[in-house]
Amino acid sequence: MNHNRSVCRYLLRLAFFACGAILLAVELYGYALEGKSWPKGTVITMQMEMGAAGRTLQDGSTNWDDAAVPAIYEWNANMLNVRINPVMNSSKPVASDDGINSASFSDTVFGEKFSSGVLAVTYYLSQSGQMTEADVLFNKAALFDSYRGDLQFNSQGQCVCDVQRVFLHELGHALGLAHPDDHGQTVNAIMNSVVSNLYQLQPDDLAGIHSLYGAPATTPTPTPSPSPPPPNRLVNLSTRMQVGVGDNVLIGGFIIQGDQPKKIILRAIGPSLAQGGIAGVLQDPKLELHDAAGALLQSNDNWQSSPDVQDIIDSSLAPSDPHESAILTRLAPGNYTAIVLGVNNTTGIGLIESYTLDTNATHAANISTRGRVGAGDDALIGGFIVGGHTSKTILVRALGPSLGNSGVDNVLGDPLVEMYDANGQLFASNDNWQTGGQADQITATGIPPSDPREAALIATVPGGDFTAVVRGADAGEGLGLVEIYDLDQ
Amino acid sequence: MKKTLGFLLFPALVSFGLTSYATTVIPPSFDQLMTRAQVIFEGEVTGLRSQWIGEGSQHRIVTYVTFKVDDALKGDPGTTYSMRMLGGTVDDRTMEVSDAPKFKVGDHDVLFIENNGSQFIPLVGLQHGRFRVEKDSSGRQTLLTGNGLPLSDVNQLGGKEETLARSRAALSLDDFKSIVRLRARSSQNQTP
Repeated sequence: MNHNRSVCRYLLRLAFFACGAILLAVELYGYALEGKSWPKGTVITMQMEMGAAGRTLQDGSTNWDDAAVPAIYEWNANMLNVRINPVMNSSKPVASDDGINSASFSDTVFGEKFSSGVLAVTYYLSQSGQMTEADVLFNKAALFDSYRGDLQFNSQGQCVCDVQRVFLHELGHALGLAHPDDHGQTVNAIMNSVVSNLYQLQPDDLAGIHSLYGAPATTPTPTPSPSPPPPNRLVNLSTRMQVGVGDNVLIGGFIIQGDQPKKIILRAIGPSLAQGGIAGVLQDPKLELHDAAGALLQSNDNWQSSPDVQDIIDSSLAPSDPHESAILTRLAPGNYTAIVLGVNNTTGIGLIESYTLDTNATHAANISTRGRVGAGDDALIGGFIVGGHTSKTILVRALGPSLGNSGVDNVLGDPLVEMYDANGQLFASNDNWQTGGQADQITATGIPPSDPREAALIATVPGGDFTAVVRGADAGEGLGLVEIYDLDQ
Repeated sequence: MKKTLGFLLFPALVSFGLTSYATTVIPPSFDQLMTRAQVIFEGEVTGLRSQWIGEGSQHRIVTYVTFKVDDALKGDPGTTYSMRMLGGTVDDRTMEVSDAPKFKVGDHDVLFIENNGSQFIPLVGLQHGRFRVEKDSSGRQTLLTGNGLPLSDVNQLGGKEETLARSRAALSLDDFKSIVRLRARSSQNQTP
């Protein structure tokens, strides 16, 4: 009996010390969780619609989106299983319960007054414990700028708050983190409830986010290589085809990958194609740029009317005909669609091109073009340039039948793809991807065509210019899609 | 949700400097609580009801928190008081605002309320307009601030909670209410 009592006392003592150890461990990391999180693998598309600053901010930004978006990249660099994809300069309506995530300035929290002293709130929706929407609303009545370093105050003692660190904090809520200091913790954290001199994620913030979404395999280093090798990337992507009306307009898609905005120029070419001996060109092309959700980001008809006309000229990529169109812009990583159509529903052969204008690590990783495939000159022609001096492996897909699953009518029944080098030499082709001898490799990419009549090929190409041509294998016509993926990314 | 430190904190920042650790919540001062609150009362949560309201871009869930009013300290809350807060759960869908205080039936609080029905969280300073009533080990009723710290002196509100909370005995609920009543009467008498 005495032995049992002493064992009990020992166990109680052990339990006491174990509890103490646990409490000490908890104090090391004071992060608190909202109790909701995004499902693993979610790409959280965030509509950035904070608008123009109306002045040059301290960090040089003239647009609140540009000033705030590095906060997204900072979280992305420290999470494994989810990613936030910003859509810059968005104009989507900001609404509660629409399934769209957004960051914007507002007078109210969806019709209800802000409390005084609140800089911003995150309003989030969840279902069965999983986040489904998060909206960050910045209080229009608060004073903001964009700077790093100590918090700044005006002569009246009011905080002139750094929009980027406030956004960093609010994104933490959007991801499922709560205020550690409201839960009795005393730690350094961006997630504490009061804005402070801190402007970067702290170890406690990282511990919190890792508990929700895992940690990346390697910690990104902020110091770039002093002399980086020239990138072997897709630096120019283009597609030429017959531009029609309605479903038959030229639709080009591309993905910007990386952690920083990318400066690009898009061109819609028509009249100047006649100089190359092409008949029936689109005489007055108009260009539209849309985000992944379909919202119109920018449009242009006649490049000389663009507000960026001087930058377009300075890029040395100005179209040669004033009726042609161009958009020069800086895009955050994400999916985009460019549409070329004829002014007043005119038709003809047109060309869409995208060029990257800077050399940062962000890059275009994929282009796709959908349009009507006809015979002869009306084939769907996708061109791209591989920059740098090393070879690159690409996947080219030509789709037709599977487009019908998305409700598209009159699809190309049996597409064939041909690859040509800069000298016009055919170096690869495929009809029916499962029979080209690369079926296993194509399947291994994870994105094989879903219909056996569709075409795909994998090629390793050196730096230079290339063209993919899509036609009907049976001389058929219809809507087709050509896609070029960079498999090295 | 992120809050500014406010005008009153500015001298403190100058005096002590902001180290990388100086990021604790600075709640409204007692004067600010008293001035901004339109209604102050001690009460107990008796019911919670959430529902969808609004249409289109403002379609949202709100929660009505009903209190049995035990003691009115400022304004006229009646015998029961219903406070509307943005957020809540209807069926399996939940809407929340970062940092909104959470209530449950049986909670015993002293509440400083402003703009009920039009402000997303109608508490002065959000969670800092709520004082939880708890019994200490001797059975005496005391209060916890929005940060969960014992309230020992109303002058500690507004930024110096952490140091002062440990320096004195916790204020009793009755003493706190007396101070609130006194300040409310004093303000009323000063109003022309």
